[in-house]
Formats: sequence, structure tokens, C-alpha cells
Amino acid sequence: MRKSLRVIVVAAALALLLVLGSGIGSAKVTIDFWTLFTGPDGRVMGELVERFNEEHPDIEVVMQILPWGEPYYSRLATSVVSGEAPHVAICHDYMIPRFASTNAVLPINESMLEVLELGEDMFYDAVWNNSGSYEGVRYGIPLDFHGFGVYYNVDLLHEAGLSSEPDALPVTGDEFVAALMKMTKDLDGDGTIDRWGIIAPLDWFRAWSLWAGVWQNGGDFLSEDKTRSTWNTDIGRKALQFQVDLIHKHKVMSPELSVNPFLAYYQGQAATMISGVWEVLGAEAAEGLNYTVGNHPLIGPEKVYAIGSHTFVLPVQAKRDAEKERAALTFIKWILDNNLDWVKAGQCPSRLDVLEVDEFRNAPYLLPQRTIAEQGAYGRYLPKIIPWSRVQERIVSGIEAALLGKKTVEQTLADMDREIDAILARGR
Amino acid sequence: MARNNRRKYFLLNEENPLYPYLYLLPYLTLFIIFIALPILESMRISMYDWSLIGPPPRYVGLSNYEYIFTEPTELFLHSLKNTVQYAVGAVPLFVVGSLFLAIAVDAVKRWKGFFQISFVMPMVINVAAISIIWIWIFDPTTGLLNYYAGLIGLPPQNLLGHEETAMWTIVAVSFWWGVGFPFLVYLSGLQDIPQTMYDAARIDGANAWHCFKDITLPLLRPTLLFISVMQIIGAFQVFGQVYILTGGGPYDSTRVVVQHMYLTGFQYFEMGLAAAMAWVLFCILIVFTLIQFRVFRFGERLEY
Repeated sequence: MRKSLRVIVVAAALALLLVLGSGIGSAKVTIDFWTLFTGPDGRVMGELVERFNEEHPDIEVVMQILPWGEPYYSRLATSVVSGEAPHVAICHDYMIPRFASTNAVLPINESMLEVLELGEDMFYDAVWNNSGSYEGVRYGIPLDFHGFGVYYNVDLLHEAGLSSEPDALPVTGDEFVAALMKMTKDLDGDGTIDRWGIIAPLDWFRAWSLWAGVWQNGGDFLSEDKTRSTWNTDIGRKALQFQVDLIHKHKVMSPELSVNPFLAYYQGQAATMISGVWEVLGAEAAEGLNYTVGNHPLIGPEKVYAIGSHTFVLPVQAKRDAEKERAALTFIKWILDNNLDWVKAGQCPSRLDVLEVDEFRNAPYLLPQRTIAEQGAYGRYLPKIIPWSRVQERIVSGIEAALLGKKTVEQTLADMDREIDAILARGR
Repeated sequence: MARNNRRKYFLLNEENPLYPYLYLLPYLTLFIIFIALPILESMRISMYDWSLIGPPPRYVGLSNYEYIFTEPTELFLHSLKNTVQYAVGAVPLFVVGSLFLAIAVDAVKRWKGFFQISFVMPMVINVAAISIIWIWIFDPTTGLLNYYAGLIGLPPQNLLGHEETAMWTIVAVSFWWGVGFPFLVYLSGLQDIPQTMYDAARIDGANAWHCFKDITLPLLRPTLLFISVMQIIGAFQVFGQVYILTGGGPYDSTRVVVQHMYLTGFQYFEMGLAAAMAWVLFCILIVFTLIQFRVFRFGERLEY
């Protein structure tokens, strides 16, 4: 009898503790954070989140990594529809129109910016104003920006009698082609090239180079009101011809397209590759590779680079919760205050003050970030249209047909215009 | 008497005619909730303009069906054509190739287990893993295949990078990966044929070809039907390995219908169009399946 009484007392005490305990716990605000960083960058973000949680006893950020690309964005969309959206999420700049136009993410208003303590003067103009906005309203806060550069094999540069000094690397398209011609070699003298000046880049990298080429020549590939595709112009033809010529005229780019071109560069079968700033992690890990990075060549008179950003967005909740929103903003601010740590994951900083930090200015492992960060001041974002991914897919496919000689440059661009016009007309 | 009959339904034992359905109930419930209802729902979605987020679905009748056949990029028709190309390569290869493999392995006396495991093993590997392995093997500059081709003096190949070879290469990789299932089914089918029939035929002077044509093939008919139906359905639903091996390239020449459907739904956010495509695919598969049932005269008994 007494024993069972004791059991009851203990149980009651435990229950009371539990209730009190959960009461104490509820002072902590828990927010969900979705990212699409599936590579080593996910580990870096995970460490940042951990540090944030340690420094903020009142906030618990729960990070979830989802595969990027289609599954990520469709799951983000469904989570909003079902009222179970994360409180903060990463969103590429080109996906902002999709989510903004459907009211799936919150506009970031003045009072939120006050909490963030962030302002225009702290960022590159283009990054701050164009990465996260849609039709004049801000929806995203830029975490970073990324652009493309040329990864050079230093040993092969030297072998061809070229300098690997940052100032001596090619700047214009002509200089670039000249350097590639010097590095393209038939090593065993059998009449076929066995070391390419440049490995054919991954399919969508080629597309980025293509529209950068159009912008550098002072043109654009969509009409001003974004209702018509304008690829088939002198400027468009010039940009595509530049890529085709690398293979068919100058014979400096491998004519065989691969879905995994990086290995050929890492193993020295190609002297250069064009890739994003994030490739720094692969280049650092490549054994025996002595690399340096130059900026993406400018194939026209205008100094413009094609850039993109990861932005923070606040997905719409089933019920708005001021406390959680504030916690989310606190988290975004903290991550941006530690922008340099994120930059190490292979991105360029969105904040200008990072440029002044000694580590960023000098660390050898941040060379690509440092080089490509120059693009921030000359950066241009993709057009903010809802069906962007569908448009990009047509561009990627078109370039492939042209490079493989399946279609002429003119035919390729005419087909691209026809297809993209139809997509723009449908508008979603 | 009638009353007596009705009372049967209230019995709490095996006499109750509803008794077997009790066992079917758990499966049926899940089937209805997770398969049947979503299928019906997808038919409804196919008649709506719906982008997952944003404005509520809008009824558009059959115009989604019209759009996928008439839109200027013609990607649905194009990917259907590519899928047919895959099926033309893959279905005969799977149906006939795995049959011969099964007959050969059935006939070997030694190392039988080794061969069985070898052909079945790739099947258990995840499609993404096998695709990435084959990408490495086929890579035009760093791949193993070109390394060995070079050793015997062959020029380097880029099998996945050209329209002429990409789809057939995908067929070959798919066969390597997927041969295990039809192989196993055939093998068990072969082992069901009594040895006495072959012995009797031999005594009557039949050679190996006669035995195959007049005993093995006819008795394997149900298995053949099963395998060919499964393979046609599988071929029209091919997706994973294509998506990873080529991403549908070069220039959409290996874009298959399920990939197009997937992109339409989850990248273009056009759920209505994607659902319409699914129903078109369904109708195609039903027609093929019915034809096959005719060809193999399903249900007709065969006795020796």
C-alpha cells in the first residue's frame, strides 16, 4: 500500500516537472529553415546554424536540407499550400517571381528591414536591389551572389609560356581564345588533340556564358516588356558564334559534350574550365592540381557579368506569428553578419564589408571568391519572369544543337525565339 | 430459406460469405486511399489549370489535352517519340535477351549460382548510383570505356553525347541494370516445365530447337505475356536512368515522356498539363496491354 502510494507521488512529481519543464521550454522560439545546399556547403550552413543556436538560447533554428532543383521548389510550394511552410527558406533569385507572384512568400517591408539592420549601402547595388525583388517589391534578402570564372591549370599555363599572374590572365574573348590556342596540344603527335584548351562546360554553364555574351555586346535576349524573345539578332548570333567557334573554328574546346566535364580539367586533360565560384571546393580537393582563377572573358565592349544569388525568403504561414517572424529575421541578420564564413562554402559575399577583411583579401583558398567578387559591381541578374526555368531549358537545348552542328547558329536562335515566345505567351 | 441465406451474412465464422473480404480490407483501404482516389483525382486535375501555388484551380475542360499536342515546342510529342524509340530497343531486348540468358543459365551445370547472382545483382543497386557509375565509364575524355578502346586502337567514343547513340546506350545500361527481374521470372518458369516432357521428346527424336519451339516456348506463354506486358509498361515509364545519364540531352533527343511530365509538373508548375500527359500515357499503355493479351491468347489453356 505504502509502496504504491510512493509510486503515485513520484509519478505526480515527475508529471509536474514535465509540465513545468515544457513551460520553460516554450520560452524558446523554434523556427524551421529549409535549404537546398546538399554539398559541402550544406555542412558549412549546418555549422553556422549550430553556432547561431548556441549564441541564441531563446531561438532554436531547425535546418532541413532538401535536394535542390525541382524537388526543392515544388516541396516549398506544397508546404505553403498545406500551411506547413518553413519560417525561413533559401530561394534562388530566378525563383522569386514564381513565389512572389503567387503570394507564397512575404514581402519584406521597412519594419522588417529595421529589425535586420540592413541597408542598401552595405551591399553591392545590383545584389541588394535586383536579387530578391519582383515588380518593385522586395521578397528576398541576398545571402550571397555567384558568378562564373575560368579555372586555369597553372602548370599548363606555364608550359605554354603564359603567365599565371592575376593581371596577366585573359580579359577579353580574343585574349582568351589566344591563350587557349597556345594550351591546346597534340601531345603524342598522332594528329588528334589530346589536351584541350578548355573542356566543354556543363550544359547550363554554357547558357550562362551565352546571355552574358549578349549583355557584354550591349544587347538583351528578351524585349523590354519581357513578352518577346530577341535571341536572333546580330548580338545574339555573335554570342552563340563565339561558343561554336571555340569548337569548330579555333578547335580549342573539346567537341564532345559531357554531363561531367570537371574530371577532365582536374586530371589535366584540359587546361581550363568555366565553372561557378562554388567549384572552388572541388578545385581545392583535386589532388595535385595547381590552379588559379580568372574572370569570365568579356566577349563584348561592355563590362557586364551574369550573376545569381541565394536569397532568404519568408514563406507564408497558415497563421502569422510575430514572434517567429522576428526570430527568423534575427537569424537572417546573424547569418549575414557572418557572411565571410558562408563565403568559404564557395560563394561571393553579398556584403561589401567582407571585402575589407584580411582573410578575404589574402587567404589563398578564397582566390575564386576574391576574383569573381569583382563581378558584383558589374553584375546583372536573370530577367524576373515566372516561367524562367522553362525558358532556360530551351536556351540550354538550343546551344547544344548548335555546338554539335545539328543546327546553324541562325536556325538555333530562330527556333529559340519561337519556343520562348510561346512560353512567354503562356506566362506560367 | 431466403431468411436463412440472409442470416449467413451475420455469422461470425468462416461460413460468412463476406469472410474473405475481411482479409482484403486492410489492403483495399490503403489501395483506395493512396492509389485509386489519387488516380481519379489526377483525372480531375487534368481538366484544371493549376499551378500548385497561387490562384485556385480553374476548370478548363479538355484544353490541357489540346495544348500538350499543339504547343509550339512540341516537347510532349517529341518525348513520346523518344520513349517509343527506347521501347523499340528495350522491350525486345528484355523479353528475348533475358529469356536466352535464363535458358543458358538453366542449362549450365557448374557455377549456376554465380551466374544467377551476377545477372540479378545490378537490379538491387539504386538507379542514381548505377547511372553515375556509367557516366564515369562513358565519359568522352576520362572514361574507362575510351581508355580500353584506346588500348586496342579504337577511336574515342562519346556514346551519351550524340543523338545517334545516346538512346541505344541508355537501353544497354537499362538492360544491364534491369535484366535480373525478367531473368528470374523466366528461370522459375523454366524450372516449372517437367523434365519428363523433354525426355519424351528426345526419345521421339526431337532436337534442341524442336524442344525449345514446341515445349519451352508454349509452356512459357503465360510467363512471356507477363514479362512483355511488364516490359512495355516499364519502357514507357522509363525515367530515372535517362534523367541522370543524359538529362534528356543532347538537345532533347533522349527526353522521355515521364521526364517531360515530371518537369511540367514540378519545374514548370503546370499540374494540369502534367496530369493530362499522365492520362494520355495511361491510354497508350492500356491499348498496348490489350493487344498483347490478344497476341498471347491469354486465358486459353494449353495442355500436353
